[in-house]
Amino acid sequence: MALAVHAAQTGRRQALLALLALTMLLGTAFLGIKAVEWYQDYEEHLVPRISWDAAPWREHGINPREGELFFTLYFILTGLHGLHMIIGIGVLSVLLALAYRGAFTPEHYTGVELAGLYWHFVDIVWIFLLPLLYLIGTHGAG
Amino acid sequence: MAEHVVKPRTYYLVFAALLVLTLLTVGASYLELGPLHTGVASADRGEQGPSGGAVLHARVVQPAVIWW
Repeated sequence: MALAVHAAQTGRRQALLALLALTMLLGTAFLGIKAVEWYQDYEEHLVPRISWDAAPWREHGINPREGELFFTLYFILTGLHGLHMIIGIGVLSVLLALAYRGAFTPEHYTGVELAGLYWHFVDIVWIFLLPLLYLIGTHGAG
Repeated sequence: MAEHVVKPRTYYLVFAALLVLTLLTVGASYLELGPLHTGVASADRGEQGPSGGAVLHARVVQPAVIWW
């Protein structure tokens, strides 16, 4: 995305088109992995209220309510992040169409720059979600 | 161009720094940090629940690769 903004700034239309498409592709791949992850959670009965099995938690000596609390927050946070990514991909698709028509020039690329700021904002949110949801607890999981 | 344009080299340096810091973050998560883990005990237990270590590792590697 950052390089797409640079391409817009320097008037390289083909590079802008390619980099916007690449950003959308990588974003879609990320969402695809999230979908697989959520499906696995469903299969493993880790979705509170929908597909939940408290027995394994008790076997591990853990209060199932704590697990429910974690996974409720997990789905809310990753869901909101995913929703913002879907919105971002939608915005990028509009930019792609505009770029194809030659709407952006080195003097006029504000749309690309604003979309870049939004995309990186969603990125920064993930920087916090990764350690909070995926890394905490790793030291004792082996 | 009226505005200053950042050179791609800067982007690549930031990208490399993000990758290194991500790896360091993942590595640090394997360390025993004692009382620092207390505040996040609920999440900790949540991840060590029924899905176990294998799923956890899959979840760590997956997002780390995709994150950037």
